[in-house]
Amino acid sequence: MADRLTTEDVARIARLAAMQLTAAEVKKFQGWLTEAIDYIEVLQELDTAGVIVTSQVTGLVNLWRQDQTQSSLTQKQALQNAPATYKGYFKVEAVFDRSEG
Amino acid sequence: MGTLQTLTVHEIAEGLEQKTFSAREVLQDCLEQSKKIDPSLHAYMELLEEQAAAQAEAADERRARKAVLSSLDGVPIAVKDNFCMQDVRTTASSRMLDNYYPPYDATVVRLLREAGAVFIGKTNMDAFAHGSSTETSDFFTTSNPWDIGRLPGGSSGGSAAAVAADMTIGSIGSETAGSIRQPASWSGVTGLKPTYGRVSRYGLISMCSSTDSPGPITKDVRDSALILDILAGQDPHDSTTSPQPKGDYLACLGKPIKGVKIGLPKEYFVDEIEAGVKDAIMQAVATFKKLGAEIVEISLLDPKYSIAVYTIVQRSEVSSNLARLDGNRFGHKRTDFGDEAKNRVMLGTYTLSAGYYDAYYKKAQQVRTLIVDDFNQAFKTVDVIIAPTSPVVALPKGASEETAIFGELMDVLVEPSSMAGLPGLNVPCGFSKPKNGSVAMPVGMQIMGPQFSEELILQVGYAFEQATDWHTKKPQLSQE
Repeated sequence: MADRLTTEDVARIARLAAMQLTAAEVKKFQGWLTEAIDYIEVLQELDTAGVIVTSQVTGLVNLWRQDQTQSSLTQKQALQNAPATYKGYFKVEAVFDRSEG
Repeated sequence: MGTLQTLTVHEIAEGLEQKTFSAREVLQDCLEQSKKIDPSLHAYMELLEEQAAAQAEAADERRARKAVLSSLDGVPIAVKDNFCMQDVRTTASSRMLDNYYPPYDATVVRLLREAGAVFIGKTNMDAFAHGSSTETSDFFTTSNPWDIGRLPGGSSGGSAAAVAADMTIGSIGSETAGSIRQPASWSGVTGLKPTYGRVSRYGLISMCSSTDSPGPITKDVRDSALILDILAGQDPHDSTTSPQPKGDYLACLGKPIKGVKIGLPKEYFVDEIEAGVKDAIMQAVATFKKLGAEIVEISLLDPKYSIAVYTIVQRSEVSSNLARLDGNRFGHKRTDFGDEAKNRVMLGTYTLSAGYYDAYYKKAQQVRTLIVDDFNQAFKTVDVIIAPTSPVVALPKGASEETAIFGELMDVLVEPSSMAGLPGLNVPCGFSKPKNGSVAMPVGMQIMGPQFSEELILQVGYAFEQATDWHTKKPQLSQE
C-alpha cells in the first residue's frame, strides 16, 4: 500500500481536493498520508460480508417540514463577509478558461 | 480581588437569586482572573469584555424586575470558537476564517442568549477542531492550567482550560470523537458529550457531520446537567436533531445507584494505559461498589478498529465539509488552509475517490455497524460502561507532532462510543504524576450509556462526584 501512493498520486488527490501544493508539500503529505493509510488497513482484518452500512446512528429517516416561507438573512448580511461583490452579487473568479475549451 | 470566579453555575445562580452578589460582580471577577492568568494559558481567542458587560447589566436589570430567564441568567459562559455568534469574529481557530463575522447565531448560542447567559469569550481550539491538543490551532497553543508545559487536550482545549483556571463559570465545547471528554480529562474538569442529535449542530462549523455533538464543560456534574437542560431539543434548522423529548436532567441527580450495573470493558485496560490512570479508575470502581453498584466485566470490540473507522469517516466528511470554503462568500482562499486541514481533506478525498471508496469508506461504514451492534449487545447486560477517558494524563507540548494520527491515538477510548452516537460524561477521578513531569496531573473517567441515556450517566456521575472530592481540586496557577 505504501508504495502505491506516489508523488503523482498525491498531486492527483490535491487536484481533486482543489489544493495547490508546492513540491515540498507534496513530499510531506506523501509521508503523512502513507502513515494514515497504513493504519486504516487494519479494517481488512474484520469480516464485513453482508454487513449493512451505518451512516446515521439514531435511525432518523426522511424528515419533513411544512413548505412555508421563513425569514432569512438580508442581502446585506449574506454579503457582509464576501471579499468582492458586484451589484448585490458575490463576485468570483472565472471557473472555466476559454482557452482550454 | 474577588473570588466569585471560583464558584459553579448552580452556586452563582443561587447567589444571584439571593442577591448575595450581582451578575456584574461575577463577570468582573471572571474578567480579572482571565486578564491575570490568560497571558500564560492562552485559553481565549478573544475576551468579549464590552458585550459581556452589557449582557451582565441586562441580566441584573431583569432580576430587579423579577423577569429572570433561566438558572443561567447572568452566568458567564465561554464558547468554543467554532460556534457562530452573530457579528462576533468566529474563526474555528483557523487563519482561513480569521476575518469571518457570522451574520447569525448558532442554535446553541441562541439558546444560551435566550437563557440570559453572559458570553465572556471565544475559546481556542485545534483549527477546525482537527486535533486533540490545541497545538494545531493556527494561532497559538493553550497551556494546561495544572502544568503550563503540558497540553490541555483538545480540540475543546481552550474551553476546558478556561473552566479549570476559573476564568469562566462554565463553557461550551463540541465533540466529534473525544473533543469534549479528552480535554476535560486532561484539564481535570467535567465534560458531557450528549447523544448525537440531542443538541443542534446548526451554526457549528461542520467537521464530521455524522458525529459532531455540542456539549458543556463545567466544574461539576450539576452544572453540566443545567446547561444540557438549556441546549437539548429538536431544532428545525438541524434535521438530525432527535424528536425524542428531552430528559429531566436535574431530577436524576441524587438518586441512589444501588443495583446499577456498571460494565468494565477489558479491552479498555490494555498495556498502553498508564499505571496511574489505571489505578485511579480501579479506585473509582471500589467507590462504585461501596455505593451499591454492581460491577460486571464485559468485552467490547478492540478500540483499535474504531481509530481506523473514525479516521476514514472523519476525513471523508471533512473533505466534503471544507469544500464549501472557497473564499468567495467568506474567509480566505484554499491556499490558506493549515497543514492539518490540507492533510485531512486530502485523505478524505482519497478514501472517497473512485476505486478506493469500497475499500475504505464503505468498509468503515460497515465496521461502524459492528461497533453499534457491539454496544447494543453490551447494554443488554449492563446499564452503563466506565473506562479511562484517555490512556494517559496530559502530555508535554510538542507531543502532537510525533505522528500524523496523534488525535486518533489519544482518543482511542472515546472513539467507539462517538461512532455509535452514545452519550459520555467525563468526571475527574484522581491524579497521576507522569514519568517526566513534576506535577501530578488529573485523571478522568468516562461514563457511557445507551443513546439518549443522559439522565442515567448524569445520575451515576453525580453519585460518584458526591462520594469523592476530585472535582473540587484546583490547579496552582502562575501568572506571567
